Amino acid sequence: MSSSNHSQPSVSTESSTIQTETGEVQARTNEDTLICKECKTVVILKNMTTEFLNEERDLPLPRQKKGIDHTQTEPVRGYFGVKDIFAFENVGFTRSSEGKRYLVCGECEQGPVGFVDTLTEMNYVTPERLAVQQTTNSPVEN
Amino acid sequence: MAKTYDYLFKLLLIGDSGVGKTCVLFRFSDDSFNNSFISTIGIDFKIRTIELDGKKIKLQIWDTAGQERFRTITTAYYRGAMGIILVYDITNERSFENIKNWIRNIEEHAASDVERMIIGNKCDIEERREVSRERGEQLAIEYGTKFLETSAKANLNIDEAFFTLARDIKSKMEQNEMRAGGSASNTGRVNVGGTGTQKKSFFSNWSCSLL
Repeated sequence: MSSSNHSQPSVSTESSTIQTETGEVQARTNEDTLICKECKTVVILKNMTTEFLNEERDLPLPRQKKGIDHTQTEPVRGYFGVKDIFAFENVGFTRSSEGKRYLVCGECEQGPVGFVDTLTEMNYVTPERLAVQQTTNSPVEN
Repeated sequence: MAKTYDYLFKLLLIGDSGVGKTCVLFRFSDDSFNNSFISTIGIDFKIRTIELDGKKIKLQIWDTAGQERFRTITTAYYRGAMGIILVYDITNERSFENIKNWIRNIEEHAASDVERMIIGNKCDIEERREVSRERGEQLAIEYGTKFLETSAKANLNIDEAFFTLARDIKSKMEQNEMRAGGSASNTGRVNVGGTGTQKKSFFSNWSCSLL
């Protein structure tokens, strides 16, 4: 399991395609409203987050295989972060598991869709486990 | 960052173990979730956003995490609570009798002006009913609270319960504000910095069943 230490916002270009091993934090808001992939409930409206964590973290798989005594995880890269929990529209906070807390859809509880950094108390959600809400002007995709 | 909502209400669910409080709030007791990571570790609280009379309201809703089994629900849990949903199970007489004890507990530990509501859950199991609807209504009248029978399983009246409680808190708060001449004191009222609203049926799938 990777450490939960944050790397300092290191010297970087303005590019959003940095692929360092250490990852880094950029000041960045979410350009899209993010919704649950399963039930389409809005998790966070656009322009609510304050940073983007370009790091890989292990997130538990939503579905765990039976008969395995440890939590199965997969590495997921890229998280939008916000300090204020009320920045979210609909979200659930899990109890602590092995010192970690996770975020789930506030409606159907699909997830984890993110995690809480217990040191900084920042709340992170990953676009990898959420969908983008299509604006009404664009063609409907679902 | 500017606040994007008008009110913030902290709500609690209270009642005996097994009455379906968790089902009212969370879904993870559903069989189909047995395999899920989330059902294993459990959920602490949820933030839900609703709209009432054009006002955007954030609800922070807490479950007791089974503390009721140990009768350890005290001041810390009630702190800051503006609304409490008391839940009993219509198929369990004892859980109904205990509502009185829970109300005593609330009166002892919670803020005196906390908004309360009584819910008779599991009304989808009519054949095992032990508590009539009339007795539930009578109890609610006795304590001056609203009353609803719900089925978390059948997703009946769950939305209504949260909306009703939120509406009651909001009304009370607006009255207080008017009385206080608009000076905001220890209320859930927050400054509005902008609005971002979207239409959705909230809590629509908030039950113990999967989609």
